[in-house]
Amino acid sequence: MKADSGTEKVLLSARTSPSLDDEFFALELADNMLNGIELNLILLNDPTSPRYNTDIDAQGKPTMFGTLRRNIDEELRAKEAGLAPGQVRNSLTASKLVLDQLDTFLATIGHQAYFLEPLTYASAWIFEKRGFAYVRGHKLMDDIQREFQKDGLLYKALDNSSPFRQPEQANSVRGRAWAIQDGILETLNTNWDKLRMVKQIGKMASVNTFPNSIY
Amino acid sequence: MAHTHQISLSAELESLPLFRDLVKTACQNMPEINEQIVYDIQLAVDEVCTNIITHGYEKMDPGSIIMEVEIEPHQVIVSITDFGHPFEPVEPPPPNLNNELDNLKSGGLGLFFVFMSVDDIEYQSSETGNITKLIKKY
Repeated sequence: MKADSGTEKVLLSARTSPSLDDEFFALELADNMLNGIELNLILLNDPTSPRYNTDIDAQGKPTMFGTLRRNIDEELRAKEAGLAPGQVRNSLTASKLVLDQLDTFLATIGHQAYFLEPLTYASAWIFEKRGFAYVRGHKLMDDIQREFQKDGLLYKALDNSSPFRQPEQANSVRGRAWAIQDGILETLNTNWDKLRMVKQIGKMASVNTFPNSIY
Repeated sequence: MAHTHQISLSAELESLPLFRDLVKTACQNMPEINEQIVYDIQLAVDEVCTNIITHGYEKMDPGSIIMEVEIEPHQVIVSITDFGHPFEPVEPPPPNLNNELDNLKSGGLGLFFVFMSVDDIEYQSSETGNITKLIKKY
């Protein structure tokens, strides 16, 4: 646990071995200016699964989960292995367990909600399933759903122009997420940086912007 | 025993019919809740949600509106949660309908109808969002 004095952040992380750089679990919480809680980071990686270096570029510089710069070769390998953007390994598929615990913990210290900014379309979709609603970006998620339908603008932009823009990607959460990572939202004159989500502790918002979805 | 129905939609005018539909669905199979009561609740829901969409989320990329309809013995409670700017519905003075139409001030009539349509309105704004509660007795 890391909670430097003078900061408003606390980072919990766990590694399978102290000699390894990779955490299999990391969770960072912070106070915000309104005395609310921000979930800055949640990482749940299967340490036994292969690693894809999507988090560093060919020169070894951090990509900030692919948001600052990209490692296309590694992203391609990750995509083919079934990962979503931002992932370096398979997920531990434990987000429900961890977020339920977080709900309980925050309730015990008197909070009624917490907030986050989803890194990718896939993570926004997962947080919807975990009961989050949108402070900002619900309309964008609806727009994405509409435009990935046949004859929609995003569907038409899945034009085989790159390995991240294949027509079948419209049908899955991960497929859409990779296309968005590849900048397809420019088609709608927008980008993936305005979303903010909220979890009301003890409540499920039941948002579903991609009905009948497959991951 | 209370029955609860919930829907979470984007704060857009296109969502209004679905919010109205939820009221109707929730009140179905309740013979004590007549059509006028359903209409009154729908009218209030429509106005409150319109205010959230046009004022609460003004100049924001629209977020969610979560609407919960709870059927209790003798009353329907509709809770509408949003995460936009707080916009408390305050009861306006009754409009002077004797004025010529051209002299009536624009705005305010919607909220007047909300207060006319339901028995009680509660509002609170906190870190969990803004919650408008409409209570209609039957």
